[in-house]
Amino acid sequence: MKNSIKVFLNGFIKENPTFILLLGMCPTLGTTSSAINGMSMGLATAFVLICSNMVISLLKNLIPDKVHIPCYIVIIATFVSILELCMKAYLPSIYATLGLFIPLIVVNCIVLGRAESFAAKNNVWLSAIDGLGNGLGFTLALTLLGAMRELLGTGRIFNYAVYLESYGTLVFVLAPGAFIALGFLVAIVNKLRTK
Amino acid sequence: MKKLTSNFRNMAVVLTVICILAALLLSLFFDLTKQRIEASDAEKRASAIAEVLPFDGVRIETEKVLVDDDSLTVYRAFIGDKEMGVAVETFSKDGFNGEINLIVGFDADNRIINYSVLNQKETPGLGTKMVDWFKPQTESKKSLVEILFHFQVASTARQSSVIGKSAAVPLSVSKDGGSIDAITAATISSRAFLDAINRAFKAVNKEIEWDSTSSASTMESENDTIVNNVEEIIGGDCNEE
Amino acid sequence: MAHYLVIFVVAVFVNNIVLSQFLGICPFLGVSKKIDTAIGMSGAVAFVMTIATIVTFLLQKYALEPLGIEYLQTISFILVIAFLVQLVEIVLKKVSPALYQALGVFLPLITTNCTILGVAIMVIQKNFTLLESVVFAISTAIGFGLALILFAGIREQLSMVKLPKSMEGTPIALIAAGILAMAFMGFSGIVAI
Repeated sequence: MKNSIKVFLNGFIKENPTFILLLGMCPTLGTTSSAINGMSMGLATAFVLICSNMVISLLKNLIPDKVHIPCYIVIIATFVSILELCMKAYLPSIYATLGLFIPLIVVNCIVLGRAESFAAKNNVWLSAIDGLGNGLGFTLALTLLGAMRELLGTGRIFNYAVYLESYGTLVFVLAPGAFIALGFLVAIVNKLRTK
Repeated sequence: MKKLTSNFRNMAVVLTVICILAALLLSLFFDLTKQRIEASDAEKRASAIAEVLPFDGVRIETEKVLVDDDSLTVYRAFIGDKEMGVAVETFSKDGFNGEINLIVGFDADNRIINYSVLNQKETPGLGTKMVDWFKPQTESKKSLVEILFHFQVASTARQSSVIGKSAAVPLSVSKDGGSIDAITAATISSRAFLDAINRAFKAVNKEIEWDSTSSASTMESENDTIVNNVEEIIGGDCNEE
Repeated sequence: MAHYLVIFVVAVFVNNIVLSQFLGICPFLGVSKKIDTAIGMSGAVAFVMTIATIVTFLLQKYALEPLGIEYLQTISFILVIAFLVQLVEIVLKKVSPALYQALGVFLPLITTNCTILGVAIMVIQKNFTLLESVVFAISTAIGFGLALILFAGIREQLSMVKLPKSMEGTPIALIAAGILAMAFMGFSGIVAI
């Protein structure tokens, strides 16, 4: 049990995929124009991460070393496609907003990275926990960045008006603001870590 | 269990089996979600039609109308034999990031009842405001700062509603000498929106004969639009959409 | 002809793949410390992107669509891309050792470069013809190269600047990228496809 908590916290905080390892930057920048969009993208990735981690850990002894990358990619792509079909059916508006970034979860380095470095060496339960920790860590980072951009850009958080929209700095919702906001967030995390 | 060795037979078998299993699993999920996906698309359209034609117990008849070589879908709403209104699924290709699609509802006198945006790819925070900008202004909810410090900022009045308009002249933004205030910093999106509305007008009222020069956005060739937009970007403020 | 020019301008400047579509950020931040490596990476991406787009386009039109199995798009595209990258590596090694020397180290990184899969899916979504797709792929690769090389130039200068400890490395790179993206916003709205 203690071990599970350690694995979870490792992915969630200590080696947070976005802030510490700087993986999966494309969806981090591309889908965080609002807090709710960032959170949806994070949860979608977490789903794929947990499922692929579990299956890869189950099959780890059946997959010969030389073809392990293609096998992992097929497994990950299967779960991404399942997610895509389900989102199209039940959450069409969120699917429309996230668009291209849903199929691109396949090439998100976090997913393949966790499969390689964790799921291929550990049992199913721990792999699931690791997927959950990393997935939620990614969700946390995306939600935080989305909330920051939404607040600075439009004066809202989760669509709740905090201050007047006309005082918002619109650039934070647009492309340049994504880079700048993430740059400052990473700098703040760096500062906190060195203390 | 021991790890399988990487000989050719093992590799080929494992990769093939995984691929086949993946394809089977996906086809299963495809069958499970197929109906729902088709239904959710139809639902979106149906709820948009219901929004722009707010009548109870109507029968909808669908037909295609040709406007300037483009075929538009028109939904006619009947109660008994009486025609209550028409909804037109219209579009504009002059959006900031490509095509926009909307459904516009008209009453029996060809006045706009309401509209609903089906698809748009405009810039968040600018062009996306078209979703409710061209409806009558509503009292905005107080923000947290206003509640905490007990004050209220009066929202600036604007003349941007297209509800109730009928087409004597094509609608255009005030910058082009028209009567509709464009979305702040998003003139191109606003022009594209009105272009779609004007196209819908033509679909419901085929007798409309507008002077071709007065409808600036619909008639411009692609090259003119490029030149205009460049001028706007150089001359105007940099956020101008 | 003008139509292809529009596609070119949109893909290189208006909707720059890195600075306004947010694809390929990993190599953008990872291999942009020196101009030389940036040029090598851009060349490798241009090469693979063009071939991959043609192959996935044909796969979509002549296999997935006639059979009605478009839901296998993601899985088949990524497999084809992974396979192609390997193939390109082997062929290059045999045919043109000089080119392999220049691009070789970047090729394995490309499978997980989301621009390749992104462009392959985009041309299907935008309903392009084969020729339009090829023009779009090449232009996108040029746009990627332009952003990467510009950014590498900025970073070479940045490395000489004295900064607060916590801003060094990625944070300042991201902020510089933000300012570069702002400059590219000046192109927005010029033309659309």
